[in-house]
Order: sequence, then structure tokens, then C-alpha cells
Amino acid sequence: MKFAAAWHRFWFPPRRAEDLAICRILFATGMFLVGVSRPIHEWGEVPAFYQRPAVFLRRLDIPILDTGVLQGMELVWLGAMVTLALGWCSRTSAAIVCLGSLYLFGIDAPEFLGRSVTSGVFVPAILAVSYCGDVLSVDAWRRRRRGQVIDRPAEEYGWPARLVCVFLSYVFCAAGVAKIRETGFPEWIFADQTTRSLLIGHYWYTSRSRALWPVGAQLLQIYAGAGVALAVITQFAELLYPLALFVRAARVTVVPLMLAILIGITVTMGPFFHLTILAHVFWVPWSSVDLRRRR
Amino acid sequence: MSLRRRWVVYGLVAIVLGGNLASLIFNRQVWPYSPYPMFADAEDPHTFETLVLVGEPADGGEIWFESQGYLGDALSPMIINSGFGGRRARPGMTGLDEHLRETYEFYEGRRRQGLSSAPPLRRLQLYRFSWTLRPDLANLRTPRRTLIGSYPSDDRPAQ
Repeated sequence: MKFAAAWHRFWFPPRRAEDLAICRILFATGMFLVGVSRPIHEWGEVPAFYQRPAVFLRRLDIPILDTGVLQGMELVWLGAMVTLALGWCSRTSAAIVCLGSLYLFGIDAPEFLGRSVTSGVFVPAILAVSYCGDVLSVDAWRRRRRGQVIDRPAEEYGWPARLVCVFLSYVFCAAGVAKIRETGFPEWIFADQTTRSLLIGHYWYTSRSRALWPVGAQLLQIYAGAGVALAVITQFAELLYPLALFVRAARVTVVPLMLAILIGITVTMGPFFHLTILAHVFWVPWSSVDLRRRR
Repeated sequence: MSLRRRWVVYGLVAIVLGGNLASLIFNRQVWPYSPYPMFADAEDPHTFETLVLVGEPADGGEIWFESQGYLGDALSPMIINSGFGGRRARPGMTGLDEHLRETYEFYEGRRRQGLSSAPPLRRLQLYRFSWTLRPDLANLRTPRRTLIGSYPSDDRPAQ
């Protein structure tokens, strides 16, 4: 019985509806900016030998459609992000964003370059099942006008953020495990892979973009062991990230550290994990932040 | 919360986490599930090599296809490397000439439609660039180069 109660408390923590609504607004707005900056419809016209669609699209014989059709799909997909941010038909909008991401990111070489956008499928899927539009939304305004009152248990607003945080914990822990599996522990740390990554981003493209600023190379000129030091921090932050689900001290240290690492990777190596960074809004108990400020 | 609603949530948990855990266990990436093997492989820490498209403009010089958008945003340098086979690419390999011709025609098509500000090319070449990594980045623009293929393959300018 104790386990059942603890299991329930873990997955269904009581939260305020405003917390979930703020996460919805921030995530959908940020994802819109990412989507606008990425003209996926161009895949409709590139020579076929470059195309790397997702395995499930190939298995199901789902083609990469013509550029014009893809442009239309992109418009609907981006529009759904706007309506999701506004909270207009919130759950339907989230479902459209999820399905749009599954296909559009799915033709954008996802098994090759798509690890940064998996949150673009899973977070909208979670929002589509949740009641994320109950407050701070057009839906709520329309219901108020009709005189409808919503009274849901606070657990309904806690589980979506919990599931996103568990998903993020998986992402980082799996990345830490992959390093051990592929190279070994502590071999990966001492294999100078971080040193290599700090330099390659200046030489050429290891993702869609190059390093923004040669701070990594400068750091290596000052101290040659900087790569190993950063590798230690990265691997431990990845492996310890799931602790943040249970221990407050880990939540206030490992999560910000991981965010700093993701931003550092963008600046010094090039890969930009935008949607993964964005999904971190679900860690923040927004209404508590607001209450503290009012006090 | 009703029991039915709770089971809906557990179903979603199973979809989100179950697929990802299977991906981790089988070490296979099946979009949108992934074992997230970012930077996990140990590669030679001192060198880096990649395939690079190099264009010879009609008025001389050369351009490296980076992120100028000459081939659009979808065809980033990493996709170009992968499209031509990455480390497997060899001079004379099957399909190489055809792929270079298709790329050249795609480039020209975009240029003629005004979709890119690219210059007209007399030749498109595929090189393997290889660098010895240096913290002072002094050799950024001087990689060792091996010609893999060229379109057109003779001295005749591209049509």
C-alpha cells in the first residue's frame, strides 16, 4: 500500500493550473520561434539521395511530399503552435503540433540530426492529454463567458510537468549511459572527446551550425586539461540528472548545471538543443515564483 | 482523479518512456525515440575529416559549401557529407557522378530561380577535407584535400 501511495504521489503531485498554463505558453511560443527558423519544406525539392527520413516513414511508405504541400503543412503546424500558446482549442492544437512534429521533423534527417527536437513531439503529446488550457487561455475566457466553471483536482495539473521532467531525466541519463556503453567509464572522460568536440565546431559542421565563439579553443590554449575537466562535469551531470526528480538539492544544482552545459555546447561546439532547453520550463513551479515575488 | 483518467495518463507514460527505454536497451534510434548517443563515440582526438563540396565559379576562385544557403537550409554540410557516403566515399564509386550532377543541377536551378545569391559555377567538386586539430585554430582554411569526384569530370565547363 505504501508503494502504491508513493507511486501515486510521484506521478500526480498537486500543482496549480497556472503552472501548467505558463509552461504551455512558454513552450509553444519558443517552439514557434524554432519552427519558423527551420524551413523543413525544402526537403520536398532536394535530390533524393540526400533524403534521410525517419525509419517509420520509410517502413510505412509515407513519402516526403512536394514542397508546396509541405509548406501548407508547416503553416498549419506553426498556426497550431500559436493557438496552443493562446490556449485556443488547446488540446486539439497540441495534438496537431505533436503530429506535425512527428512528420515534419521526421523528414528532417531525424535519426541523424533529430535528437534536439524529440521534445517537439513528446511535450505537445503530453499537453494534448492534459488540461493545459484551463486557465490563462482563450478556452478559459470562452468558458467564463458561457458561465461554465471548471473544478478539477490539482493532480491534473501536476502530472504533465512531472512526465516532462521524467522524460528529460531519461534524455540525459541515457546520454550518460551511451558514453559508458560506447567508450567505457572512465575511458570516455579521458579519451579527449570533449577536447575534440571543443575544436571541431570551429573547423567544420558537426551539426547544423558551427561554434559561435572560440571560447573552447581559447580555454584549451590556457589549460590543455580543460577538455577532461568539462567531460567529468558533463558525464556526472548527465548521470545524476534523474536525482533532481527526488532530491531538492539536485534540482537546484544539477538542472541549472545541465542547462549551462547545453548553452555551453551551443556556444563552443555548435549543436543547439533548443527544444530540450525549452522543455526545462516544466521544472519551474511558476506560481511559487510569483508568490515569493509578491511577498 | 478518476481511475479511468489515471490509466489514460499511465498509457501516455508507457508511450513516452516505454519506447525510449526500448530504444536504450536495443541501442537503436527509431524516431522519435532515441538512446541519445551524443558525443559518445571515441574518435581520434587529433584529427577530423569530412566530405566538402567545393565550387569553381565561372569567374575564378573557389567556394566551399558551408551555410551560405546555396543548396538551401535543408542541405547542411553534415547532410552533404552523409549524402555522399561519409567515410565510405571513394573516387569512382557507384553513383558518385550522378549525385554530383544532380547536386549541380539543383544548385543551378535555385540560382536561376533567384532562391540563392550563388555565383554560376564552371565545375562542382567533392573533396575529402582532413585537419589536424590545433587549439590555436591556425589551419582552419588549409585542410589536407583529396579529390573524390568532379562534375563535369573532364575539362569541359558545366552546361
